[in-house]
Amino acid sequence: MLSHSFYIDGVTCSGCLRKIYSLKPNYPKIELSVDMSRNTLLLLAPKTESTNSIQKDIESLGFKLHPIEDKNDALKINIKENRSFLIKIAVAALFAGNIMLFSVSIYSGAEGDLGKYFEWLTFILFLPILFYSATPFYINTLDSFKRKRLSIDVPITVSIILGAGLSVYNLFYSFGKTYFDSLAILVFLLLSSRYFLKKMQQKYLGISYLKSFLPSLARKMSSSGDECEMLSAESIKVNDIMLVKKGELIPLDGQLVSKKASLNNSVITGEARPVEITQNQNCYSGTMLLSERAVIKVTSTSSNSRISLLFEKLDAEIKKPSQLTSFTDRASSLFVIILFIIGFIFCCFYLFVDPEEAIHRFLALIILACPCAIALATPLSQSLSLIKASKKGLLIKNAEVFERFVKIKNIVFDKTGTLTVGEFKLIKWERGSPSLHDLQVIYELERNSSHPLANAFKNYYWDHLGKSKAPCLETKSHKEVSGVGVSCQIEMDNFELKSYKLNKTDYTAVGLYKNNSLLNVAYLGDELREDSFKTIKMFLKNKFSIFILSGDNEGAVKSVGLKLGLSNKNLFFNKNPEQKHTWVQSHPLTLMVGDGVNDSLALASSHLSIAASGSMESTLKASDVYLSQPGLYQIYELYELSKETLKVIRRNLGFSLVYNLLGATFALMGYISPLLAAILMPLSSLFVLSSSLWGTSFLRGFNRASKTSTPKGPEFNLTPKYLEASH
Amino acid sequence: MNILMLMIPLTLILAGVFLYLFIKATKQGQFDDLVTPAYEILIDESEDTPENLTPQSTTMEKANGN
Repeated sequence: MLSHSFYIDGVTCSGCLRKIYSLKPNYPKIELSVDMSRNTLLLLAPKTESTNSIQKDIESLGFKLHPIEDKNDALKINIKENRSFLIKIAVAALFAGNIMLFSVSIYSGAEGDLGKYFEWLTFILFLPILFYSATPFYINTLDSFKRKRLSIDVPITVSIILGAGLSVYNLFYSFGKTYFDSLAILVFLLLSSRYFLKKMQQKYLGISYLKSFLPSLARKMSSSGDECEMLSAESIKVNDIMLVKKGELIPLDGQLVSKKASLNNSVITGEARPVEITQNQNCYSGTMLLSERAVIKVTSTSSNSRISLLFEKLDAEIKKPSQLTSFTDRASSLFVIILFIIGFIFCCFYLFVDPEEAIHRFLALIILACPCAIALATPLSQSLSLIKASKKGLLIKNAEVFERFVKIKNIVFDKTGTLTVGEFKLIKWERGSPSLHDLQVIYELERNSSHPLANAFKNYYWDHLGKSKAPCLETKSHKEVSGVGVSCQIEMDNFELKSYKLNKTDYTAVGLYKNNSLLNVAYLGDELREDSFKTIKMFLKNKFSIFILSGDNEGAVKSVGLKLGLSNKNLFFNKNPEQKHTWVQSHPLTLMVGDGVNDSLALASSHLSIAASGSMESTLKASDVYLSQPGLYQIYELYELSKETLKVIRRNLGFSLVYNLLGATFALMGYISPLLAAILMPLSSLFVLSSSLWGTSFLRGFNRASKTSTPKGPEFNLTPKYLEASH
Repeated sequence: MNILMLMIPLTLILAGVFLYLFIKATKQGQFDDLVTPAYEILIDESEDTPENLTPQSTTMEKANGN
């Protein structure tokens, strides 16, 4: 039996499940199971049986399948870890519960032989917890010693071992009371809260949906070229020939065999405008075919395609453990440790006064000041906000981003491709819009040119007349002279498009000539993104210093700066990558927003970095946040989100600190017994938990807010499905 | 009170049996997915058997035809 696992999109109810299960009788040899908690589908098929047809059937029901490449068996490891965690919790629950039964008798006054019997029982029952259930804490503590990093598990381990040691000492020497009950409950509650957190993270963050918008099936052409077979994209090998139809995503990287093809490359370049490629040029998986059909020779397997590699990198970054790296976390665990040390010193002195009471109070302190609430305070609110951000199309690599964003003072934007769209666009005509015939002439002139200006004209034509209405004028003696322009003959008239000298520098002008007389002049330029102005205005309102750092010339940068209302001293032009890098280094607390390779160095060195949609690979690698949708306003939304998240974190931490301080004081003064402490502790965790889930009114409305940055062409919106708000 | 000497070990053995069963169930994967089974129960099992599928599909076809 071979197992094939897939991520499956769109299974949300029993109806969906029924549809999929109704396929079962058609494939008696294949076992099929859906896991809705992980959104996965598992197919178990005998080696001889192909799963292609059942995959096709499931996809035809409207559920997208995305094969999981189990390189490291991450999913299986994950399931295994969850199981062992669950067993640890079960052991802790069982023994802690039984310990409590006997402890109640001890507390209510069981004495003599019976009391001793009960105490020994609690000790024996505590052993599995000490040596089995609590092992994750020991492992993490050792790990943090190895890495020389403070972790919340250190005080936990110390309290468990110290408490157990003291109790055992008391047990053997009949010195006083034992505290196995409190320790057992401590371990059980801590384990449970961690399991909950882990589950939360797994559900939303653990599994990568990044790959999920790549098509899982490819149409392989037989060598004779007349037959096509639908196969899973993984099974296609290098040098196989595949067929892609209009409107489909290209499943694998390849080389075009057909003469010509038009692609939407937005996945890779961020540009939603069609790109024409000719025979033997490369095309990448994830790009959409806009022309009729294309035959493509595969050049890399699905796991090695450019986009998969990119996603793998992004994935690895996202999955990096971000626990306890942020300042608040470290500070709070330091606080707990200091509290412990103070308690310890206090008890050392108090031992001379009343040894039993001293240990009693210290234990109450340990249990009460247990870092539970503090440990939960930050990661929980962070992961909740991460989920919210990812639903808006913001891919955040680590949870510290929120904390760092709030500290930011300067924001630096790259110009081309970040503030602007990054391509030429027809801005205006000098003599009013040209006639239909003139437009058709222009289209014919530029039809075969791949010059950026030609694309601008073609886009203008498509925008005004629609893509389907390509003109078919008869042209003769078509000529393209690079650096000058294009010319051709249409119905006895000689038409020309060539550059037109202009005094102003921020536009490029092109003149349309008919038999050497000027018909019209077109002004072309790189346009600002729709929401650049709004974004900058909001940031200026919040007292950020905004800078533009561009490699472009003075005129171009100044005209953009003027439009955005930035003063000239905040504009920097003619900067090469190294200069950008040193500029950012000399300005601490800077947020850098960029998209190109030339920005990546500066991105990597800035306090916080955001890669605009359509960024290059190196830029993605260097930055902390990736905007998966065009537009800049998301950055402002991220700022608001960070602010609110920090508010919740501060509220949680504030509560935990007050609780711990008060608790510690009362415990040391002897007002709180270990039992009462054990009751108070989960209550504090519960408070932090509900506070994080409740958030603020802004956070609750974050994903409900109207879409402020809608991408231009809906047909080019290749946003992965998971990024859209789930239903 | 001497009966406690007998009763407590008995309860612990019983608890141990339950723990063993729980561990066994966990290792078999009963707790891996707590979402799907809740929906699965709503699906009529009869639909899955091939014998019942034929009339089912014909009614479906009829419905589609109309």
